[in-house]
Amino acid sequence: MKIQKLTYIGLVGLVLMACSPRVPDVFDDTSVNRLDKRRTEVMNLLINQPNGWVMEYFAQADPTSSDVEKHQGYTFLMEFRTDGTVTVGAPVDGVFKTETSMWDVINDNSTVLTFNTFNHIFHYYSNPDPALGLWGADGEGIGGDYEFLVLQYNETENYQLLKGKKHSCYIRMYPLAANQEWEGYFSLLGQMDQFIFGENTPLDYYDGNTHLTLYNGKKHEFRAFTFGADTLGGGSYYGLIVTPKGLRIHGGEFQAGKETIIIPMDLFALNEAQDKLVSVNTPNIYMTVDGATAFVSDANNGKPWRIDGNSLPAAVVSAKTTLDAAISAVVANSYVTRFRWEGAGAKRMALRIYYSVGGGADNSYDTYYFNVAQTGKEVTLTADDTYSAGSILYQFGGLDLVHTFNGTYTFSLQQGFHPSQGLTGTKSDDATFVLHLNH
Amino acid sequence: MKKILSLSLVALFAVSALAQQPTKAEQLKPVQFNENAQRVQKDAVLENATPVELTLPSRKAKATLAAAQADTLDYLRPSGVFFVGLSSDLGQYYPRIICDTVDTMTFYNVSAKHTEDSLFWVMTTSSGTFVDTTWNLELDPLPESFYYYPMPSLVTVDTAYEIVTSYQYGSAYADKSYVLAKPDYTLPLTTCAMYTDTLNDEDSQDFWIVGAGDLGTYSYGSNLNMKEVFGFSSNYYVDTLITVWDNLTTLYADSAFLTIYHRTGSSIAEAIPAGASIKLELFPLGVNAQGKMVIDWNNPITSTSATNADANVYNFNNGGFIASLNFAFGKKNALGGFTPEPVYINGPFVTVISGISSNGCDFGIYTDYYYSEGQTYFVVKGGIYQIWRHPSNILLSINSQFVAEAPQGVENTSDDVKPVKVIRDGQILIQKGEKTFTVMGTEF
Repeated sequence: MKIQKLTYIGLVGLVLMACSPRVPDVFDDTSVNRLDKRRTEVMNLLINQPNGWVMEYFAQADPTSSDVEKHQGYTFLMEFRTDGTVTVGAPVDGVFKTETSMWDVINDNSTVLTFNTFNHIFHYYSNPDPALGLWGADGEGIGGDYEFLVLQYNETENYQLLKGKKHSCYIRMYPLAANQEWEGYFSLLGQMDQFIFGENTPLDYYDGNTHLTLYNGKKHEFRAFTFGADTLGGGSYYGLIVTPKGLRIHGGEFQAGKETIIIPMDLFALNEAQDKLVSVNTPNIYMTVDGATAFVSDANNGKPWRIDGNSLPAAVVSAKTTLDAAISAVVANSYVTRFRWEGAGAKRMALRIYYSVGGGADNSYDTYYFNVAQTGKEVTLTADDTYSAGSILYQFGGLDLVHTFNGTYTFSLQQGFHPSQGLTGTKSDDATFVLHLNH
Repeated sequence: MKKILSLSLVALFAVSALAQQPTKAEQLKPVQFNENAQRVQKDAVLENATPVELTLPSRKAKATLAAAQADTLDYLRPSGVFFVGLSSDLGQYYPRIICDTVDTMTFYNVSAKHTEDSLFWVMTTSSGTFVDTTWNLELDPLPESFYYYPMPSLVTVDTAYEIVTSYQYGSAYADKSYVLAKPDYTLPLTTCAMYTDTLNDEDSQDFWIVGAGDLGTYSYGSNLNMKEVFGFSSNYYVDTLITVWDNLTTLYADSAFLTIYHRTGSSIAEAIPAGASIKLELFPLGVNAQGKMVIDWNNPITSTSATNADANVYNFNNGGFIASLNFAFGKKNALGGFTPEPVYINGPFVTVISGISSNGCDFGIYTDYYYSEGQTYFVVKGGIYQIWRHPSNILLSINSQFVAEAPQGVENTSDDVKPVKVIRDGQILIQKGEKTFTVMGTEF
């Protein structure tokens, strides 16, 4: 009896539903038709670029470990044709090459761009070749994708967004300018690469109050630390790709202490002053080379700073004059000739003071050590009154000269991203105390 | 960092392995002479010394050692070939071996447990991987514009030894990965080999060198007690280390640095107290009239010292620190100060580091991870002196350039000591009396 009642209720329900007004479809066509339509649109989009596309390709991303080959970005130029062929161009072992293979757009849960015959240039990055696995043992190669979900087209920045089907890296395809010669495009990338990373100085990354230091950009895999953090181990790793306008990171989450920040996967474009790489979507996020970072890191990397003798402030000149007199009293015509800052370990620098003995060559020197504290854009130098074996000037009052360099400095680059073009150091407690430094 | 710390276990194993060879230790009869003997007295000592033949770990012994360790891969480095490892700021170069352009180099395979079919050689570079399946690896002379090879690795299905990393150990500032060795480019050359096992540890980014030794002592370093380590009957402490550099050509060197560490301290003064100094001397190596290999004490190439102010220190997160102790080559000027004087080094030479156990010094010295040819010798004090060869090398680096020829008028090898004949057979080969060696009037 109970079953019977339930049956009646169900039938009544169905009758009522049949009488209700029709709900309009969310989509105006079947899913199959819509996928077919989308496929056609994507194919037309790819084909109808007279000079092809620039693909900014990432194979894999993993912030927890370093693997430059897998994480760095790779650039390919591609021309898609109606006959199902695609020509891929890229440097191979430093030589620009092209190769033609097949492509298609298929319906596979979503619209998928596939490169479905082997292309030696492109499939190198997704081919699980045992030879490429020599050190990986399992022969996974570089572990990239050759099939990509076709996501939205970004009208603002004019790129087609793709997502690796297997490894989920986000990949962009920009239309290549009609008049851009293919091989020449890579020359543009090389020029930008050289401009940003040619001097191999770490980049300072700012996002509001967040300040990170990005090392190893030259390898196209940033190793990121919170500014001032101990860099002996750890760090987070983000692949990057150089573009004609700047660079783009395959970013992600970064753990800054207890705070998690997001490093956006934006294009960071070189600004007009050519001293910053600014996020095109969030302009308050940018990268630069701070003068303070350049001063400390270059010195620590065997690129000492020579102080321009004409820029010596009065306090230094006065102490030098006193010291010159003292050493000349021992060996006539002896005098200090020049100064040089060098690295001397973590949070330590050395001031090398060259001098001439008896008017001879000025290749004799003393080395005095300073503690270094870098806070943001400022560097505080404090002599610890130690000196290298063989130093002698301290016996003649030379520490007075050394102490004139104590203080807090701000440094500014003469040319953005190029510390070698010179730094100007200004001591905060004495506006007249300015040092010009060159490698 | 975990890996560096874990090396203490390896050091323990390595030293224990030596300690388990009492027969060898018993064969060695310490040569005694006045502990106050100074090098200036060496001539008299030489005349009166009774040569004592001692068994050294020859290539055969090395092979035996390798055979005793299951599945060990091992090969001998050709003479005149150096490693390029850490820089003085403790950054790391992309691993290289570097050499002159004289001759074919042969890396001798002494992996006794393997056959030619079971392993092969691999060299990885930025442009590809090169494989060689011969038993011994022969490399052609390098062209002048290409002064390095990547470090060769012996590979089996489950083991690989190589130096591969671009990790910046110290400052993490510089990327020195792609520095090419050029004739006019100064690189820190060392006899100390550093390895990382990228096959078994794919994500490895640390180079492996040996730090802490066993039972509270250093593998190398201050106050190393031969009684504890080698089972000697009395307390003998190592104060001086002599390293043989089988250089085949002319080096132009301006400085050197020793890579040291302290297990717990945070201040360099805990390793080298104020007032203490470590001395570094370089002497030519030659063959005397009797065909014995000798150190030419009369003609030092250079002599210098370093204090704790000359150290670049990097603290570990969990205590202790690593430091490079820097030695500049130079001389005193008329004021008594320092004037740099780079040196030309023609042919084989030795470096003598002394004072490591004096004046309160307390530090370890990094060495290579696996046994290498063992070109470092202990000079032990504690009632008697003796010299002991250790089958691994300290991480002493000499900042050098290869130069094609010594400049005219520069000659560092004494006229009365003939140049040592060295061939590239994987080991220093001494012309005569191959297993005798004369140091400080003592032959061993």
